[in-house]
Amino acid sequence: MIIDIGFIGYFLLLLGLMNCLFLLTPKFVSGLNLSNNILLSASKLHFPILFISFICLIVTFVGEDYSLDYVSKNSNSNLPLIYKISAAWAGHEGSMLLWCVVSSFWMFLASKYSNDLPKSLRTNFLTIMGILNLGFLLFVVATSNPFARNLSVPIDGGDLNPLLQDFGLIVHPPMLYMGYVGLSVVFSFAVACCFEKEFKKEWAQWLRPWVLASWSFLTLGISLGSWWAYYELGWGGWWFWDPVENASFMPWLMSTALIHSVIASGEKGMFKSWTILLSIFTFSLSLLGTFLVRSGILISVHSFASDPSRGIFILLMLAMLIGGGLAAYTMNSKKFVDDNDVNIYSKEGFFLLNNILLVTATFTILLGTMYPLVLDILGLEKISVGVPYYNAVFIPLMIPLILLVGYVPMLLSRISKNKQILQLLIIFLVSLVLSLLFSINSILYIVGFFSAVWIIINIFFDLFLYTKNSVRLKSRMGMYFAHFGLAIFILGASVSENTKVEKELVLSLGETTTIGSFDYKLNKLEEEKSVNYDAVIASVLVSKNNSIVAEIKPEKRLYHSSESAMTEAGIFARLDRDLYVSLGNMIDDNKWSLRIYDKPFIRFIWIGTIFMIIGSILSIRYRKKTNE
Amino acid sequence: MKKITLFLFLLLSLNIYASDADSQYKELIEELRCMVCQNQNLAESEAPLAVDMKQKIREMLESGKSKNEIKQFLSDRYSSYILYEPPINKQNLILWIAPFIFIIILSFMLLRRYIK
Repeated sequence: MIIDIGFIGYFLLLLGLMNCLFLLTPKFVSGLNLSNNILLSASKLHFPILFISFICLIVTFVGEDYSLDYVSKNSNSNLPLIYKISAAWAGHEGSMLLWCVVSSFWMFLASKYSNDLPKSLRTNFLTIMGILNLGFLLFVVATSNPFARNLSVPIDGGDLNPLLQDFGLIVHPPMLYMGYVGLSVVFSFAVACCFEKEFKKEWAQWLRPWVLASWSFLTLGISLGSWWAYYELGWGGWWFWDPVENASFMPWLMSTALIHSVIASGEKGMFKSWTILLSIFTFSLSLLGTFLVRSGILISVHSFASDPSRGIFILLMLAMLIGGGLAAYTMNSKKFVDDNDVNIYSKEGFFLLNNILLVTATFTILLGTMYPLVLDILGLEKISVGVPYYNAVFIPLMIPLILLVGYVPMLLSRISKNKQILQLLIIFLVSLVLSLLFSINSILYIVGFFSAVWIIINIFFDLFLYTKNSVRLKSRMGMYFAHFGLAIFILGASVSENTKVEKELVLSLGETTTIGSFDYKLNKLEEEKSVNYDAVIASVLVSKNNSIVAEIKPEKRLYHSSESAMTEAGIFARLDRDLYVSLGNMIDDNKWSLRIYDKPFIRFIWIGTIFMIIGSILSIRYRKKTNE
Repeated sequence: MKKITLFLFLLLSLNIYASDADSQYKELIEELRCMVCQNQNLAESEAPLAVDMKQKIREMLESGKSKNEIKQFLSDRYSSYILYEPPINKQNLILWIAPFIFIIILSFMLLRRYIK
């Protein structure tokens, strides 16, 4: 018996489209209880429909159904099973379907947990989510159908890009999409509040966990992506300010700002209209990122122009969303009246400064990402905007932000202002002395080291001296974890960037070289055949004072189907140091070029992000009571 | 005040630490684009053109050329697309100035609206 899984998958996509239309019923059949029930059921039903459709896509990959164009282009019969599965979201069409699945999942959750909201707010909120889901799904069906057929069925498929045959790829996109699309909940809610002409404290509190959850996923997704680039690309970098990275970093910065402003809105009824506006822009930036990555415009303006249908579709959606969201906002923004005024020397005052700095940082990244594109479209001289630009513009914005982050525990303590200032001054000097002792070779290093120490000392100072009250401690634990994570991240980034030792050199078999405080010996070269690639595996023995510390095994792989050579770096990882070896080119039979990196504390970069995520989860779990 | 001093200090001293030839070489190849790759710098790239260019840069440094002279030479030859630090000129003025204008306007709007 042959069941055409591809057809079922496609059928479910169309069913999903129909289902989205039901989501719009309250707009057309008003005043009926019936229509509201339809909305609630449809908003929950959308997820299983799309999820099963996505499972169908995976099944066609596992079943090697090369009559589907997308399957035949991204997989072949020699691919290990796990990569056949993950190939389902490795290409454009599948990853956009994944986007829709994730979006339907968030709508499912939004529908499930919105019982307490007033009816009209809830209806508008879910309807807006329905419109978004309809838009995404239309995009898939109209421009990026993963179930489209080949005219003639190839005997075997092409290949999954070897770079993507990796654990990092399996988990990175779903996490990132959970973050991006989670922000659509925030957007929809904000616009729905515009229709209510009100943004009550309880509503802001309801919104807060959604912002935090999206932010956690974004953090995890970005962190995984950076980790993947580090071990997979072979040059040991973890962040390059590449437009694709920027596309995910912009919504991250904005949602970081939003986390703070939504707390002020929830606890004190402040910044109401600003929080709404920020919510609208944050999701818009997620979509802009998707446009940049998915339209092909980043690769070249000309490749975009030759097949613009996808890009134009997303651009139109983007225009409708920003336009619609901003229209709803501007018509009603005067109605959002704050419950309290803001004192600059208070938590909320600091949040405001935080928001100014983070939004400006987002703007500079947007500018740096879009400026070369715009010049290119206008036919002016092409330019590159890279690390030096962002170091010069982004880092100066982060310095005052970090001073504020360090200040926060003291600000929240109940000691007098004069005592606060005195203690801060002492901590400032101690941090400065410490960073001058440990980091003297560049100004950026001193600044980075100082920032980390400044935040950490301030947090522990408060923990040991002032926060004895367990309720207060509980309410701050999330914040402390997240800020501590930031400090650990900064420490990792600045120590590894400023003390790393990097060498590119040629070694013959048996030859030894000294780099940093370690000796590296090219000990063995072995060939190995795997299912879908041949590899040369080098064995590099690392020793210190003649005792062997580690054996590092970098690989060079030649994949059969695409004939492309891939570097698999060998990494000896300890908490305080990574020794990183990657194979370059074969010079001679027993002679290879190698890159050898010694990177102290680089693990702290990713460990820091784990702390941030833990902090965010703690904050979701801890709900501050309003009537406190 | 401390913030401002630190900030100015940072801006002024970003470039003073470039020292010996080897570290100059490393800084240079990290700030220059590999012209045949998809957004990679020379340090990361092993493309033949990039390898040649790195060799050329090393030779120029050894013959006593300064970082800026080398950058100038390369951008004359390959256009300023090769520089990851866009030159400050008429065309790129907005790129360098807009962040300052943006933060002033945003601060003005938000602080005026919310700080009483």
